[in-house]
Amino acid sequence: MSKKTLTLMSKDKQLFNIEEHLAVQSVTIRNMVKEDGASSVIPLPRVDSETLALVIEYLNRQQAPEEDEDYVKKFVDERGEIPTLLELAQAALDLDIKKLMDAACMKVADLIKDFTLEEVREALRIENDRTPEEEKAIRDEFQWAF
Amino acid sequence: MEGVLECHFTISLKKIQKIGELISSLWEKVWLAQKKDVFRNLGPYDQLSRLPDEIIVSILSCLPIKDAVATSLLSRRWIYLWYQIDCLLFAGKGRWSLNCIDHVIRQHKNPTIDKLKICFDLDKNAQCAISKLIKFAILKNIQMLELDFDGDRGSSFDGQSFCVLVTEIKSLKSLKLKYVDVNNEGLRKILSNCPVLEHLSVVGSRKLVKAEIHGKDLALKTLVIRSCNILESIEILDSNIVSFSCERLLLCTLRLNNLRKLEKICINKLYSWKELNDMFCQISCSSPNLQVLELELDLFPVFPLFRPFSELQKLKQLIIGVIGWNAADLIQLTSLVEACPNLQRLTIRKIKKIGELISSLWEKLRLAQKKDVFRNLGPYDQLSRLPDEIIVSILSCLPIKDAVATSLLSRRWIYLWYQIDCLLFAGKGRWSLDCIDHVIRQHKNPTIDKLKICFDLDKNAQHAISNLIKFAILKNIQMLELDFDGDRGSSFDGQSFSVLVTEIKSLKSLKLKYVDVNNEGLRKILSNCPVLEHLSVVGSRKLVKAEIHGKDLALKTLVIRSCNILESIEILDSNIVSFSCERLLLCTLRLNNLRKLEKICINKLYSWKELNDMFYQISCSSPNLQVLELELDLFPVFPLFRPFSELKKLKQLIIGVIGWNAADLIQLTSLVEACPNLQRLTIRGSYLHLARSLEYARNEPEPGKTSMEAWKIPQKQHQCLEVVEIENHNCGINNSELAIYFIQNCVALKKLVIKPSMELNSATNETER
Repeated sequence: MSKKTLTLMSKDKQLFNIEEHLAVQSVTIRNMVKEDGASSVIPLPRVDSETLALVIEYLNRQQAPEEDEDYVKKFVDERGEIPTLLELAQAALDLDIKKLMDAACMKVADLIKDFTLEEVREALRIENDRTPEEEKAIRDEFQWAF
Repeated sequence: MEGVLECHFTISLKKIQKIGELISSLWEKVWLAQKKDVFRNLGPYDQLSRLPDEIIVSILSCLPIKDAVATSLLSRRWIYLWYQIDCLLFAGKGRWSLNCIDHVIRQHKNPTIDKLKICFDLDKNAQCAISKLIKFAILKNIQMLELDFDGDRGSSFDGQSFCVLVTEIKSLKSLKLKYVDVNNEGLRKILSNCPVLEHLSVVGSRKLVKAEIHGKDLALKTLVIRSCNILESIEILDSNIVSFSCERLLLCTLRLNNLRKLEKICINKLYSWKELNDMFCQISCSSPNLQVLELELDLFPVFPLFRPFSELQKLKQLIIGVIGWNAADLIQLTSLVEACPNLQRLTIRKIKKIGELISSLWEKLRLAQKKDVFRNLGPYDQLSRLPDEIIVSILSCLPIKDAVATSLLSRRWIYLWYQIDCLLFAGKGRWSLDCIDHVIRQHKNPTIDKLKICFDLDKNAQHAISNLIKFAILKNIQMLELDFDGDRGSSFDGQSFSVLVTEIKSLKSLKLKYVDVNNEGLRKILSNCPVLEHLSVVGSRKLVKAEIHGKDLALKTLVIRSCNILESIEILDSNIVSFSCERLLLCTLRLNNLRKLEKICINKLYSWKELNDMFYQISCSSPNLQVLELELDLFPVFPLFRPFSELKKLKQLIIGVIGWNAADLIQLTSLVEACPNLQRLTIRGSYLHLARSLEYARNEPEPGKTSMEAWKIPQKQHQCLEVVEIENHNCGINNSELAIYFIQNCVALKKLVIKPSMELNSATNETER
């Protein structure tokens, strides 16, 4: 039996090939394959090509099961930049690859763990859209957390 | 400055071999990351120009010579300033050419040199350069001489020619030698020819067998002798010595007599209570005026019965360092303290275990570098596009305080943390009942995957924790982790906890650290949690007997560690897959009928006999064992026993050794031969015991003199061995020699990996067949 190949298409219309038995680590793809055999191209409208290349690299890994945990950790560790990690998490969520999603989220959490509130805002690029009064109300409510 | 602060986190702890190097490089990085602090609060520009030359010369004298010379570029005034320095510090990594040493010798104008310190890599030319430097220093009436060569590289400065040189320095007051191979005769010469020598320190000499300090006519006041591997005895008789410091009395006899001026003794690495007792007896007879005694005990914290410690009548200060004891063990020190009736000051130092030290350094480094995150941030709208699920996943990985704090970030974030599925209560502050209640009230996710509680216990905590666990039970918790700091002697009541836990039918994983679960508690947990797959009990002080019986348990992974009074572990007829424990010398292990057992990991094996017995048991009980991980804390001489029982199906063998050197690895052949189908062998040096591993690292045989010959005559060839890895180990031998052995004797060898790691980011030698 020859190995079947699937084609994935990124947001910017780039095509990526991957063997089916590797691709079905993604629950989303597995379900599509089950439904219609997924003969045509699978579009991933929210994933850009750089991120998809990463995901493919991850799916193609050749690791013994007992070393898999370490591999996933290393895989996200090597991509220590928050934007990349967030993109990766999003792609993993869309494709339903739990391990990758968890690892990426864990890494982001790890990066922002010791930050002050302002630093978190800057690191995650969050605009403060609240008035000082509102902010104070929350501070008072959760005094113990600050 | 930004460029300088850039540090990278690419160090993999696994690769690291020499703990000393690791720590110093971590310090270096922390230091670099913090150096910008210096640039704050600088005064006006003219400050330095007002200072007299003397001050600047004093500052330059403290710098390594390269830096001092480099300052001549700063401005006109500085060109000649370094000519006047009175300390010459030749240090640093680069090799020193004879040229640059000549240059310094020609330019230096100060008629006296107080101190000469030489600390660089030795090569062939160095011997000559160093002699030259010392001769130059003799002309300038040098008072302090310090030679420091990195002993780990097997380099050494010829002790004999050095001793001839040194005897000409009549002005010498202080002499510090690190890794200079001074022998008995050399030491005698130094002492008899330097009439004003007050401080002598000999560290790491590989030729000193007997150190003798005799006679009242010596000026010597301070003596330090350390890390001399083949040292057999130290004799200090009838001397005026005031302070004395040495180590490892188990391997080296100490003879003290008639030392009326001796005020301070410092002894590191005491490995045996008996030696300690003998030492007290000697001190009390020889040194009636001893005032300060400093000891570092690397002992098992149980004091055996001996004659009482001899009294030290005048002792005023006692400093005791202990390694790896917990608070309760300190009571063992009372007999020592009672022997000192006039003690005024007692200091007990917990010497940090190396693991703790490293993790605290990591922590510092991490904080210093956190700004790295702020590079390459994407555009502002990135996060707003992300679905809530991802943010909730991120929040679930944060400690609960941080997760709640994010509610301030922006409107969108207010309710996000309500949905998290992991509650991590950790951190130093005490948790009030209020804030726990608050979390319980606000949390909206119908399930909790994981609850981790890790904080200081006080009276209220017991109650708070119960509350939390009850709350988690309602939300079908799957993983529960309780981690209390065992060192404070605090403990969570194991009994009431066991009652609670039996209500959690959904529990899959339970990790208990320093929760005092007893035999009955363990039994209850096992019988009442029908889907429990992972159980880890660490540091229970009430568990005497751990019994895992029966095919009906779902349990797959079991970890039992650091339970002090544990007497036996019994695992019979179980479906367990992986099992991990330690210290079999003190605890009986009984295994029977474990057909599913695939992995065993045993730490701290103290005896070859236990190891042999264990192999026998495993071969009878666990026919399908595939991975065996052992940590041997053994003397590297294999006694004669019956051969190790065969483990037929074993595929991977991981052996950690503590403080062995390369030649000792031959002792492992009998283990490897007991595994006919072994595919992968990993031998790991350990950096857990700093004291011993550092010491053994210096014990390395000289290159070319290793006993690898013995390796070359194996009993039989290894038929299935495919991968051999040697990590961390301080291989004092040529890698190629090891490689040849394995290539010759392993028929199926496909891959040989040796990670000797001299440097932090060293390359790995990987050979494919």
